[in-house]
Amino acid sequence: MTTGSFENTVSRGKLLEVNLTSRTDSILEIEEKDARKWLGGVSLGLKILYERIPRNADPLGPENLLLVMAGPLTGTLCPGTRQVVLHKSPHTGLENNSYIGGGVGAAIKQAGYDGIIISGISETPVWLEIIDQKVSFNDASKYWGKDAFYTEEKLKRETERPNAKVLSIGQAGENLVTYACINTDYYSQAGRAGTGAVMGSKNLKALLVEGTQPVRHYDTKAFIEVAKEAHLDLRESSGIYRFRRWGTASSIKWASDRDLQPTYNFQAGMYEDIDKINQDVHENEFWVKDKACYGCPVGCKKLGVLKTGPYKGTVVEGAEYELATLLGANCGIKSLDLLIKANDLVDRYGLDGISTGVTIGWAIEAFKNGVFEQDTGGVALEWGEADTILGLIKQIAMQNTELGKLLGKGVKHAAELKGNDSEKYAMQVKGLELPGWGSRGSPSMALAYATSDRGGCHMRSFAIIYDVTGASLPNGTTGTRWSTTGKGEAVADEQNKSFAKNSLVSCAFTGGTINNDRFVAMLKAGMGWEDYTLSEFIKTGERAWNLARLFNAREGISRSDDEKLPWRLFEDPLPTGEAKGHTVERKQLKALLDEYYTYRGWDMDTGLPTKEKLRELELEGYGL
Amino acid sequence: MGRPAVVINHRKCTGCRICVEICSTIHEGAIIEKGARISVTHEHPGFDVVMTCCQCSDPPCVPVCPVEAISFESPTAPVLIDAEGCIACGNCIDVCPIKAIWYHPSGDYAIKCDLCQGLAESPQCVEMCPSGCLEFRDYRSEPRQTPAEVAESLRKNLFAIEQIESKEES
Repeated sequence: MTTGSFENTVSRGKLLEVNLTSRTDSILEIEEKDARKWLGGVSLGLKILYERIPRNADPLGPENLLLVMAGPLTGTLCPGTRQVVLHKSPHTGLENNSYIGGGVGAAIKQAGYDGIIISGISETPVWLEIIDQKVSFNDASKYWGKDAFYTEEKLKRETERPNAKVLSIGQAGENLVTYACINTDYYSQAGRAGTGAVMGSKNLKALLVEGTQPVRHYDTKAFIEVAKEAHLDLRESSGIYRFRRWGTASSIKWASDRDLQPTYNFQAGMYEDIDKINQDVHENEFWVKDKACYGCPVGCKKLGVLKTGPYKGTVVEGAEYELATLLGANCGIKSLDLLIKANDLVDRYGLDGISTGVTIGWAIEAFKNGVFEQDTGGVALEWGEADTILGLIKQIAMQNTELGKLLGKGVKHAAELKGNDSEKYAMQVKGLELPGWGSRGSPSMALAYATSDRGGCHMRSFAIIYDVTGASLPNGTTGTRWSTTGKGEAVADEQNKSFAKNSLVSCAFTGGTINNDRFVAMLKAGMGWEDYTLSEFIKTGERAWNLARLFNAREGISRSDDEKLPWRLFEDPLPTGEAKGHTVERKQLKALLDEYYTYRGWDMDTGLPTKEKLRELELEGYGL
Repeated sequence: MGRPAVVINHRKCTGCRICVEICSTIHEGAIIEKGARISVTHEHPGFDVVMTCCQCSDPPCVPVCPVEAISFESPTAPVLIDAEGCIACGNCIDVCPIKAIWYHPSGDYAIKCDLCQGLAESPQCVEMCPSGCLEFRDYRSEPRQTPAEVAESLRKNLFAIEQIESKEES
């Protein structure tokens, strides 16, 4: 490949920047050495965030950027590639990288770009149309106030582009709920940490993109050959079979049986009513069709329709595991109908199902503890009640009641405002509500939450496998459920690998099954980097992880923040199940953190990257 | 015996578009949606309709071609368009009862499924289809529904919804 030429590569070598303040667009060329060093996706995105968003910038102000990044393998025959949304989070004050299914990344590539940067703020509601080189700014006043599904469908009709890809926000994003999400392909979300609020703050209701620029490979024949092998890996994998058959819902029963399923605001780890909402109920009563993201042979998305009952006619993809757990078990839902209606509402209004479920769970427990009886207008909040759960979802999205405004801030801030010990059961880390995997039954998972770049997130290292399923550790040994040695290294190692794959951008499920050597081979064939190596690939992941840490350190994060987990995890033992009596032990967490920082080459006291580490990762100039 | 063809089970399509990717890569050397000889159209509220030539036993596209650029070698061979000879008049596109012929992105000629003849040993979309939606077999090669008709009946079948416009939730 000749320097600076992306004519025949899977990368475009170009980013599109759209400034909403001045209503102008421009092209940012990527140098070939940067394409190789940063790849794309999370890595290139973090470089842009770090360089362009000043410290203490208001996440809902004009200095914040909204990035939609594809990667070199997005929109190619590599199975299971996605796209990532990045920005400074209004929910946590940290950087955020939130992954989204569907096909918008492929559309961005076909339009001729590796990613889109949205800067500035529009004075009035706007929707953007990007068709190849043509960017147009359109009045969105008729869509403002409408839900995300409605907006996507009407835009596709209005433009007569049924196959265009649309990113849209619902009312929650317009109302700047800090855990609002962005929707695409109706039922896929960039769910976490406020992607939709940033879009709403920019007065950007939707973005529609479609393109006609061919995506080429440096060596087409070689690329097809490796891609076909990767497709075969997935076809033959039994781990993938469960995703193909039940999607992430395959974990519902499994997690409850292992005491890992947050139940009644994390009071317990197993749900006695799990069989009313487990994957078999979905499969037998609800799902009508398997759905896949662009270029993915797995098809883990399950489209269903409620055929009877009070919410008859509701169509949605789901419920996937996190939503079934956090709006389901965690809020005490005992029927498929209610779970699916809750799923439909959070998707339409554009709310993160995880943060919404954790916040509602906290609200019900706090109400029962007498923390805010007056705020509900005299209405009792009850576990598993439709009026409570659907009512709170609406109030949070619409921001039309005092309670909705309180809960729209998320559990950290809501608990700080209400006090009365309600902080003890506010289930968040660094301001981000915890996902549906208990950590009192898994010490490694506690470390994964403590060290995740964006707070309570399970997608950087799913360390439960080292504790519960006996996955082998990087040091060659296998731990027991409650051991810690080697698991600090394991979490760091997996975070590096996940950020390498998130730079492509590979889906966590397919990316966990396809051998990393195949990704390297596809980069060679796709980009023409004949001497590209696996260690170079993993180093890109480690570099991106360190850069995320630098961004967050600039906002004030250090080791002491990593040691903070919710009171309940440290002090309130699990009452039932396999892990009965267990908590996260502070001493254990400290030992895990020590091992983790050592492996990372970070300072033991501050928990921040050392100068030597930054030099090793070619991050000179990115220090604090 | 009819003409073997790519046979579609619409219910099984997941909308992954791998068929479109591989078809355009095989034929055009690049991924370009409109260069594929198979199309996938996304429909509300979330399903996809795939369409490609069913290799009719009595193909109506053949007699309407003014320059005899569409032909088949035998009653069991695929119906092929000669890109060199095609004058892009659009007659075949108009007459195709299932909308399985369209213009090449260059606009210079019409394209349709050629079963990867001369390019690969078997139709590559079938080889890579992960859901069982596409099969290569000798079945009744008769045109039936257009993509719009398929969408309408699938919508009723899957969702029991007559009204396809979105209703907003308030």
